[in-house]
Amino acid sequence: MNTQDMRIPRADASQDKSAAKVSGKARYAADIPANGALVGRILRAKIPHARIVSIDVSQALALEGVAAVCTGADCPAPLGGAATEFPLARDKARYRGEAVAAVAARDEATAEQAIRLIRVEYEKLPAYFDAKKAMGEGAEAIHADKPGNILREAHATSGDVEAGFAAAELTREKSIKFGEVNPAQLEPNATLVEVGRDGGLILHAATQAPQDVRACVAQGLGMDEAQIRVENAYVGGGFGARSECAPFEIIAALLARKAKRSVRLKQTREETFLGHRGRPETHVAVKLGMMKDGRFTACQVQTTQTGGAYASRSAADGAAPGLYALHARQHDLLRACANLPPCGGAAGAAESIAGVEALINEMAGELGLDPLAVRALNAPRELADCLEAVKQASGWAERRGQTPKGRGLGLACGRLTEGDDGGVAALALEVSVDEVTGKATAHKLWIAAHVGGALDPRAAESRIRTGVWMGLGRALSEETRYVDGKMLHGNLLDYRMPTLVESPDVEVVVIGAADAAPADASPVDPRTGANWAAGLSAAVMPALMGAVHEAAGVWPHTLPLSPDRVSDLLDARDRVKK
Amino acid sequence: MKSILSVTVNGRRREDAIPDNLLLIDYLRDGLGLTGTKQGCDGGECGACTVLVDDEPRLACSTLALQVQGRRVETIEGLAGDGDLTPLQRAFQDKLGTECGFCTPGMILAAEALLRRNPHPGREEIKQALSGNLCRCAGHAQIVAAVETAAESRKNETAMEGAR
Repeated sequence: MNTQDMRIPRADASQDKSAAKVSGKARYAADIPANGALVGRILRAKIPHARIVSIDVSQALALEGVAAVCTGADCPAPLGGAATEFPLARDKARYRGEAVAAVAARDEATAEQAIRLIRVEYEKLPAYFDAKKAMGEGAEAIHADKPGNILREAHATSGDVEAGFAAAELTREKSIKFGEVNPAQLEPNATLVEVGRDGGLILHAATQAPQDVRACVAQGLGMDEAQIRVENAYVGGGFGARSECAPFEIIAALLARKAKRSVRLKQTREETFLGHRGRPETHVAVKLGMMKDGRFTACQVQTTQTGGAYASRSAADGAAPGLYALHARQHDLLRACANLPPCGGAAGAAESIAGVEALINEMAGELGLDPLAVRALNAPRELADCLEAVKQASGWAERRGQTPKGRGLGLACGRLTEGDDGGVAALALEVSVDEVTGKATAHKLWIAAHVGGALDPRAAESRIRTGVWMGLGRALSEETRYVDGKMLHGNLLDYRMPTLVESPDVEVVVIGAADAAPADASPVDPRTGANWAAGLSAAVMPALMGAVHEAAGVWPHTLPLSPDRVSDLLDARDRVKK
Repeated sequence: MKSILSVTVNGRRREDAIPDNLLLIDYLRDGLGLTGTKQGCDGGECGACTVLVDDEPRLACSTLALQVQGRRVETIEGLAGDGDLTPLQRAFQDKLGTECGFCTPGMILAAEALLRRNPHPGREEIKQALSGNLCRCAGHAQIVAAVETAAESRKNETAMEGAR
């Protein structure tokens, strides 16, 4: 990691911001005053895959108090140029909830009424909600330029994988399914667009990428960038949802330009869920070769993502860096598009690592080896340091196998970021499993991370804690659900993120931090925008699986480990016993 | 239909003619410009709009403005007024209990309600009291530490007052 050219935000600026946040003075996009602004509303597709035959907006336009109505016909350019996604759908709607038309009116009630007066005629097309069916033979192409509905593929091989497996004394395979995760940033999407006297537009946007918003809005409206100004409001979380321009920013600008007046476009929580750009449902098939002493000989990972109808433009590349000093490796990534909300650009590195880590635990168990010792045997020095620190902090040697009935201890490693330039981490997790309800509860977590000298210890510790907790949410409860493309999780009760009461003690050991840099509490790396949650979830999930095995004698294969899934595993175990 | 609402907001008595179906959150945000009260969900899910009504935490998104008739409402803006931050607000700042900041006003007011009714809560009591307030940045440990610190400093202040 290059630490020379990294800049840490000044401490006083960060203090001013936190003072504004704790006193209620921090203004987020929906907080910017806008007297007399029109209210924007979006009409969304109710069919997951359809050709748009016609849109009749005449009745909506005739309604008193309606200032502007926009459709795909007002959108000359797709979002960000390279993508096929238009701010408002043209020709086709590719997921249930895609924006089809928008209105600006004098108040909420009028805008809602106008939306109901818009008539859209659809011609239904076959729709796909998982990768296998989307890529199946004869499947209808969701995008004309994506035959077989393959959005992206990547293949990487190093060393002689075949020879590595031939030399192995034990080879095992495992398939794991990871649920789709929504960013669920707490601040709902909102934008205020003001129209300047010269016809230029001023956007108050909830974004972490003001330059991209400016460029995309200019492109989306066919305007010069000099005519667009983006004022950065405070941002109530992003987690991938706000790292590039989102369609609603352009929709608000289209409305304001047409109405020649300020427009405020606030989205409901449900609409904010539809904005998605989180991690897709991911299926990982892992094959690992090992010697009887625990040395790895070869590793093969096949990652299949059920992407949305569209994907973030800032897609990561497909190479998933491994954690260990293992030369013979093969990784294949396939992302299918499906008729679901657009997902983020993650290339599945976290899920790949999680899959390998889960299989390491199972194989160590089969060989009667300590999973910590197996990892230490294969780990480069920085990771070995983390393992040693976790061993000491957790009392691993004394506790392992000695937990009371119904409790277990699990272990796994991960990276802080998904690239290969971030730090590494090892963690141990103590979990109990309720045999009656199937509820898995995390009680205590020990983590040691090598952070690469870029942060002071307190900031690093804070970022590790948040990353771990987001990982636990993904491991235990967070998951989106659809039926025929209809979202079932569009609120913060059905989409279960962890609450404070479920937060276990987390003991953090920071290795290799800078001596004294100013604190910055953000869970997002201010230098790269990267967030440690995805990377650390790669360790939290397999550690949980290992702990559940020790507690209940079952090896999970589907995440999150919600009580219904654990119950199914326990039932299957008991059927075998009988 | 409109009615007259008489209410004390952040220490000031007010009378306003408001629609009967106006929600407290819209009264505070749109009517009074108190935008520190946040709306994070479509109703009663996230706790970001927590305000104090006669010292008790209430969700402003699920309360009609007329339900606070004759009562005392406090929002995040009223905690410190124009003066210095309160020890609780400072603790959230010092212990890194605020990240993106969107849950912070509701979180602080839920904690304030707890400390008013129980000045020396245990860790589990703090977690329980704040479990209706979601924090997506998952700053849970830092938030609990902030409330513990604030409780401690209140204790010290009380002890000093007692010594005088």
